[in-house]
Amino acid sequence: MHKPLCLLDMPAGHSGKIVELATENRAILTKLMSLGIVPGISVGLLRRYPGFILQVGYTLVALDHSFAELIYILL
Amino acid sequence: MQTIALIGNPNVGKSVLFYHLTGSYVTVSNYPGTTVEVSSGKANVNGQMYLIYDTPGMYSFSSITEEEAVARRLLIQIHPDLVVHVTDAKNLPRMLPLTLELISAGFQVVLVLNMMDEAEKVGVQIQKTELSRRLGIPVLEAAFAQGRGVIGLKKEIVRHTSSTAQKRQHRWREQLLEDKNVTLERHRKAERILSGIFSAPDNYTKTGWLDALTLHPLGGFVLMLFVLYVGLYLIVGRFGAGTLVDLLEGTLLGEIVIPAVSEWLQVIVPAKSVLDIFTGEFGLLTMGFRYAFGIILPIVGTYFFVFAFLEDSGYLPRLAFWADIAMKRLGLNGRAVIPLTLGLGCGTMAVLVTRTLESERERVIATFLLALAVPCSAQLGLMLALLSSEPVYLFVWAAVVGGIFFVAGFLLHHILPGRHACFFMELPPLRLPKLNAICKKTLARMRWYFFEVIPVFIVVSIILWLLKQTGLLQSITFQLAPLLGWMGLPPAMSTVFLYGFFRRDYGAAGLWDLYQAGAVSGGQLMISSIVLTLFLPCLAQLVMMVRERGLLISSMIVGSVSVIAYLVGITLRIFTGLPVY
Repeated sequence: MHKPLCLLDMPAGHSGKIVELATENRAILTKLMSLGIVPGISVGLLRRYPGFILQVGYTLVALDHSFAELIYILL
Repeated sequence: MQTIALIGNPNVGKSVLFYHLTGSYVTVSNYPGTTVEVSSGKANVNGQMYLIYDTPGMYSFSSITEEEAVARRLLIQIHPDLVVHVTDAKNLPRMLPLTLELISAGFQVVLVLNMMDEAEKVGVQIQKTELSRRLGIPVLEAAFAQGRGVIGLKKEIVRHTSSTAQKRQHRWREQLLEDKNVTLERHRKAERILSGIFSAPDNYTKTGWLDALTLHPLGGFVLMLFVLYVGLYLIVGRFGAGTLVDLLEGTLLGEIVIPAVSEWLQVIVPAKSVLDIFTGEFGLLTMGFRYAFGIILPIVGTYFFVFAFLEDSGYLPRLAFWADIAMKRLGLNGRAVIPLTLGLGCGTMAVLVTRTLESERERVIATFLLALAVPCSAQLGLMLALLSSEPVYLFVWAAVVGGIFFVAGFLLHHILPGRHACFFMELPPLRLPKLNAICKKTLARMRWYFFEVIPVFIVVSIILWLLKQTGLLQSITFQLAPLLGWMGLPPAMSTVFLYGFFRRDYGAAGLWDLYQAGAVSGGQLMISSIVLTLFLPCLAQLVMMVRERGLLISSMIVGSVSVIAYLVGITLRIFTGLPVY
């Protein structure tokens, strides 16, 4: 069994299931969740530079470092 | 009259629906966040009149950005008789929680599954009858861009608003304290509701090569240069400011319309001083009308066209993603790319669009940069045309203005207090824009621009005419002369700076005239074009700044901008070795 990996440490081209959004800041949580970034959902990391790009369902979401560090994923 | 509000995430088709219902066009684009104000319009739906509100995109009731707060305030204050929640069908799982929020807040909701064409293409299946039963509200399928589903929605609107004449009590309250689990629970509930009736195949749209290119660090940079070269230099600079201006200003107005009308006016208006209002040096016809229609219209129009193309193609969010790192250095984030590039079209409009930025700090920085170092399209087009004869000048101009843009942003970022910006954005799919849609949008923006320009150009012409008649103009020119002299510029230039205050683009147009007349040397041309670019924003932009940022901040911005522009002018004179004039 793998340990959850922070999005910051996840290699591009891999996908996994979101297990944790590590913040209690409601505004940030709402934003992430309304873009479909919700625990339990499978996502793929397409690109890490110049920013993070997640494939969430049929949506591409661009995030910077400050959001990426909150997202934990089980590969 | 009964009221209806259109609510939904950014970029799901609310504005298109608004157009179908009311017949008026709010600018719609493939860019999240270009509707910054609530637009309302009357609609005749099957014989009944309704007041329809189109709102800026909203992700959730607890909102961060000002544009989202706008939608929330509208819901609370107006408490519409019916809320039409427009969603992107294929992304329903993440949009349904907002429907649940709306229902539990006590609104009458109709859920619209829009963009069904795209959803069907990728193989998404939704059992809408069962969904409607589970939610307890009507659910409709639509593809508004193709006009599909409009008739069905109209029927539903009439049926719904007539059957429930009495308003339901709304139970909405500030839910900012709602904790993480409640939000999560709502998403779980949405999942449960959709289980078994929503299926999406796992074949998520593969990103094509163009997608990959726009997002690639190096490829994105090369593509940006290409877009700048084709969009700005070739289309706006060469075609708009060159070919079209020659045609309109040079041939049509200069050789046919203005001589004919002048001749006719001379016959019917005998008094020379009155005639001057129309055909004098600053005449309504010879200056106001000629600048507005002959020079500015073609340039601004071509810029808006290019911008609309980029918006609808979905390129701008990718540019935002790509530029985010650089923008962070200026205290902004990738989102700021939109107001800043729109500022290359019209600074006034861009100051309004700074509302899409998340913090007041970012809005101040963006407003400052727009005032200082972002030339508007008319100015830019004329500068490109003026300076392209001497590539060195063009290069120096670009380097100085660009350098000042970054230095000013960098300093502001370190001076201003407040939290640093963070960035997230939905990247809509790349689409080939529809010519029809681009033209409509370009026309809508030009109309907006014109309602602003026409009054100003009439007023400016009259003020300048009055100043000239009373001799005040000569004395202002005289007062300005030494200030200009320190920058190595001749006194004749002071009228150009005076126009530039009223409208930036008029300033550039005035410079164009002086240069055509051979009144300025190459070095002077370079200095004055740089100083004019940096110099005060036009009157209209100033008014917008005061409206959006307040008098205090606007005054500080104006003060700093003037000092910076002047100091740069003096420095340039010293560097180029021009004498004090």
